[in-house]
Amino acid sequence: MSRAVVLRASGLRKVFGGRVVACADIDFELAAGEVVGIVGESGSGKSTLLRCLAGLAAPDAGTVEIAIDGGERVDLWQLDEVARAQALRSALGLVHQNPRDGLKLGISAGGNVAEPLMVSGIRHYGRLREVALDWLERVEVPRRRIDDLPSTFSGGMQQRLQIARSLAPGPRILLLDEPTGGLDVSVQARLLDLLRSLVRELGVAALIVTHDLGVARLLADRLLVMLRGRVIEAGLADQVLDDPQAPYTQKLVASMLRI
Amino acid sequence: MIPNDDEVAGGYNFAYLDEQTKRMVRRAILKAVCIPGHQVPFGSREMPLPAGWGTGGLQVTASVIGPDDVLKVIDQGTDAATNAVSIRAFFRRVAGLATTERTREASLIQTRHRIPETPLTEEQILVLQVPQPEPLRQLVPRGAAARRLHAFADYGVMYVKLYEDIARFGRVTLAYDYPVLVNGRYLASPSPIPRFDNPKLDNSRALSLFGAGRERRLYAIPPYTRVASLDFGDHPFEVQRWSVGCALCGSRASYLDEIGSGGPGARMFVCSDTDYCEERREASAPARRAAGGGRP
Ligand SMILES: Nc1ncnc2c1ncn2[C@@H]1O[C@H](COP(=O)(O)OP(=O)(O)O)[C@@H](O)[C@H]1O
Ligand SMILES: [Mg+2]
Ligand SMILES: [Zn+2]
Repeated sequence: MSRAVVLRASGLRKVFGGRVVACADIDFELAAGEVVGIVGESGSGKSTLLRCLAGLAAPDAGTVEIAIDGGERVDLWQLDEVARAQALRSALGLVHQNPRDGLKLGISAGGNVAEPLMVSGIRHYGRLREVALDWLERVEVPRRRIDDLPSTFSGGMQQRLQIARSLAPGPRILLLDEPTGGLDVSVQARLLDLLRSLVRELGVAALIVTHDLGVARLLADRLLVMLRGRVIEAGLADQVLDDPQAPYTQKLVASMLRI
Repeated sequence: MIPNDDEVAGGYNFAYLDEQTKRMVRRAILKAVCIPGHQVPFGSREMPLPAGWGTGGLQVTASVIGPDDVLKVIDQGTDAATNAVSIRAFFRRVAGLATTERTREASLIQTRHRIPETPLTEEQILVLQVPQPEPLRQLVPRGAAARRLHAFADYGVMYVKLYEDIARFGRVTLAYDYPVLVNGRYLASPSPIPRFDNPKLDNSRALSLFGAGRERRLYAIPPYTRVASLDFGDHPFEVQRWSVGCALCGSRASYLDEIGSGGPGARMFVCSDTDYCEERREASAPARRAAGGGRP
């Protein structure tokens, strides 16, 4: 792959309470515009990995490099806290499974989308409005809902709003932790369609955690399979799903096919 | 006015606080001056006034004031308010200090809710009483979270507040305690002064010290420091304006209070800064006001 690497994890390790090895020996790269899926059963360390990549949890070992403005890569956990927050602000967006974790429920939909832009220094109300309206439209939230509180939105609409908020600052990297997890099946399909077209259109590199292999096949170019904190299989999504190598992946694929 | 001997109480250290406490407060003040707008914790002491009556300002004043200082105390623009009278009496008693109601004559001005209209000088210190020093308090639940945002200079939440106001009401509705960015770095509360007074803090010739007793924090704006009220380029910060002038002195440049004039339906506006108003009336009157008793 010749595209620039926008995120690289090397030897990542995170242990809780000295005993629970949530992540170990994790190495992978994410190239510009690429979509990588992470699959694995509950407790296999997917969320912890994402938190280490997103600057929310410090790994016990290993490095996380991300490309910042100008294409230069920085070692996230070597930066001091302020520099890390600054690097992440413009480079990386995170979408939580529960929209309530990624949105501010006390402020309007428009305020939610505009806040990261204000943090990065936009000081023009009209411009903020314009960008917020544009994003609401892109994620299929009616423009007239711009001043409504997200708590008045349906779950699916809240999730779409969260996606707008995380994409509005124009990050090169988007991390999504089971973004369709809490939604009805019909709502999931619409969200997946939206995600797929947004990611392609924007050329943002995405790392999407899911336990749903259907989601993985639909969205991901490549897949990482996690088991007990380790990546036990990696490859092109179709290859992994059609011809799984590791016994665990075979079982996983087989169990999904049965449903 | 210099206090009479029988006004001055014995048995107290000069200005009530012991020297060690004053040194501690002064160290915090020095730090605050070095980091304009940054809140510095200090070991607030019990003062013989209930918290909420300006104990923070009182301690700051007590720590920086000297025997040659002339003190002015104002509350809501007037030297005659209860809070101002009792703080002034306190310093006359425990420091034997001369006091004045004239902004120009004061070397130290302790105030609540207003900044004098008369421009301050390099020779003056303004001490503001602050009930709530944290401008982010309404917006982030915990103090630790607010301190993080200050460390990151991440004031997006405050801009969101402005954004939401404009979206809902067409303008920023904050009339008092309108947040300022000090020296391009720290977001600070100007204390509950009207937004009308905010521009006076910008590039002020005087040192401004802010003391919050209950919250045990103080902060400073050194002379000639940039103080910007938060706004958007297309919704610039504006101060309050009145369609009339002061009914007493005619000023159209001062902050006006509405007062009942007795007559039904008659609304009357007068300067909130009583000294400023009086000085203007004196200047325009042919005969000067009889000098108040014993002013040096
Ligand atoms: N903050 C935490 N403290 C202690 N253990 C944790 C914490 N977060 C996750 N774990 C443990 O780490 C392992 C991986 O969890 P997680 O990353 O949430 O997995 P997944 O997202 O794949 O379900 C689990 O055993 C979980 O109990
Ligand atoms: Mg998880
Ligand atoms: Zn007047």
